Amino acid sequence: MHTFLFRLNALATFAISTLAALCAVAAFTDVFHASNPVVNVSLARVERLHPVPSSGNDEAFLAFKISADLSSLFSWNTKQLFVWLDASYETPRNVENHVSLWDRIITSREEAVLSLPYVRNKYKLVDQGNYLRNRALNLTMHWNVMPSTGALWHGSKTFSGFRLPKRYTNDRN
Amino acid sequence: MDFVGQKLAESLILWVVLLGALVGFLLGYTLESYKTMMQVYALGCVLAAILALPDWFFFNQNPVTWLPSIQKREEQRRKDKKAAKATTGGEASSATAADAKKNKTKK
Repeated sequence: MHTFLFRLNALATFAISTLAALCAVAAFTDVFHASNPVVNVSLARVERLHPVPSSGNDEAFLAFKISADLSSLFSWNTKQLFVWLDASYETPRNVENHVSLWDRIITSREEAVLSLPYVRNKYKLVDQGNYLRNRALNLTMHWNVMPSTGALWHGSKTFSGFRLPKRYTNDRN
Repeated sequence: MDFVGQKLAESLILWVVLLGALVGFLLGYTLESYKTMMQVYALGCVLAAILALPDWFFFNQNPVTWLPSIQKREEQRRKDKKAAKATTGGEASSATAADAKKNKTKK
C-alpha cells in the first residue's frame, strides 16, 4: 500500500471481486421472481401450399394470429427476451420436423405485449419431400429469457390441432 | 504515506467499495433498475479511488521517526563533549573525558 500503483492494484482487484459478488446476488434474486406469461397462437390462413419448382419439396406460406403478454417475464435483471415460433409435424420420411417460422427480440416490458392479428412466416417452411398436404401441424411459442447476469432460461407453450390443406393452393392476395 | 496512513488507505478502499455495492444493490432492487445498481457501484469505486489513491495529507499524520545516521550521531557526541568541557572545566566531567580518550585510542 506504499505506492500509488500498489493502492490502484488493491482497489482494482477488490472492486472486481465485489462486482462478481454483486452480479451473483442480482442473479440470485431472480429465484424469487414469479412470471405468468399469457400466450395465444393460431393459424390465421394458409396463403399458399405448393411444391418448389427447383427441388420438388413442398413449401407452405402461412399467416398467424399471435396475442401474448410476456411482460411478467421481465424482472429487474432481465436484459431481453428472444421469442420464436416453431412448427412441428410428423411425416413418413421424418419422425420429427421442427421449423422456426418467426422470431422477435423484445427488449422492454412495453414491447412484451404482442398483438399481431396477421403475421406471415418470416422464415420459409419447406418440407423434405412432398408430405405437407393434409398434414397435422403443431405451433409452439418459445421464449428465452436473457438476464443481465445469471443463467439464460427457456419456456414454451404448444398449440396443436392445425392442419394444412388437402390440396396445393394459392390463396395469396 | 506512513504506516498508519497505509492502514487507513486500505480500510477506505474496503469500506467505500463495499458501501457502494450495498447501497447500489438496495437501490437497484427497490427501483427495479439494474443500471442504477451499476452506476452507484461505479460511483463507490471512483470515490474510493479519489480518497485512497493519491498521497493525501491525512495519510501522513504519523511520520516514522528514524534514528539519526551514525555520522550524525558522532558529530552530535563531539559537540556534546565540547559543550561539557566548556561549562564544567574538566574535573566534573571526568567520565566523559575518559570516554573521549577511549574513543581516540580506538581510532
